[in-house]
Amino acid sequence: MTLARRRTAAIAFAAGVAAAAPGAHAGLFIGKDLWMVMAYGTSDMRMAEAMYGITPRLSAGVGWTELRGTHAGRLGRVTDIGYLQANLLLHRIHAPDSVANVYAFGGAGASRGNFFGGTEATWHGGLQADWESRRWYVNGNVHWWRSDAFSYRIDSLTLGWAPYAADYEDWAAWLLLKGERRDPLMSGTEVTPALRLFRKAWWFEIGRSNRGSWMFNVMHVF
Amino acid sequence: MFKRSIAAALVALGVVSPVWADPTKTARIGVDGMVCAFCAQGIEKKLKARAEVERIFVSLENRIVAVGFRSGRGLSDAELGRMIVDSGYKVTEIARVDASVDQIRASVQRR
Repeated sequence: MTLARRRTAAIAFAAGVAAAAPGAHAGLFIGKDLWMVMAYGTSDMRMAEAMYGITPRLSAGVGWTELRGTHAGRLGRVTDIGYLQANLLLHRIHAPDSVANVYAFGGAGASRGNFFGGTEATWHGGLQADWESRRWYVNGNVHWWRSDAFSYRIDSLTLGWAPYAADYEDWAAWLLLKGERRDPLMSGTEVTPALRLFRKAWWFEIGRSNRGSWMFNVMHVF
Repeated sequence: MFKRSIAAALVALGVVSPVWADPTKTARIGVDGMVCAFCAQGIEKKLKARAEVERIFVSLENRIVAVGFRSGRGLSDAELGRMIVDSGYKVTEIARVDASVDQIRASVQRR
């Protein structure tokens, strides 16, 4: 892979993670007056976000992503994006044993990178729909990123299954399978099996994709 | 005005008890959509932030939140309902019971 393709692929990957990691589950489900902070990392990137629940339907916050890759034979930063983001719950269906949500999210920020000069204004936005019970989980997400230097669309689908129905004070364990496509920068679909564990206000995920990239994710609400 | 409208609507829908319900008695709240402990943290955080609240028990299996109060203190059904709704959930009923939170916990865990 050429350096330019590495860089663009890294940016696309980060955009995909930004769409999927914080938004895939609890990141958008923030109660009023609560904070959610998260950190996400793979061999290609580092990411941190903080979101605050303004109303039961609206949350907003800040995010920062550093993309890493090999440049001139050395592993280092490729680009980073700082952004503001708002998340709006469009619709929620409460059933006794499940919940379904449709969200819109978006925001603006600035990008710096090794393959373009200066700082680029960047905006992003997308839609997410999810449904979950105590044993099953499905999430679909589409996310667009735009600047004068890059333009990407990332689609992801995540399926989850819990081997047991954890209660409120238990450790919950989930097995996940996530597929992701990053148009037009990556051919095919990256598939990441992962393990999700959470208890009370702490959330952990670890996985390894079919492309050999390790993934971790930590979230906390307070 | 908005808060009073929410309270009136909850009473009219039969979700909460009328105004004569004793706000100092243990509240046993039925909640729909509570499937994930991480997502439900907001309920506990909101309730614990209130000085009136002494003990809380959340059961995803039984779809209930039980709230016990300090002696002589309490919260109205409308306030409790609003806190659950602000946390992103749907209240199906609020019952005032004589049992303590620990007794409710023990009874549902025996099932």
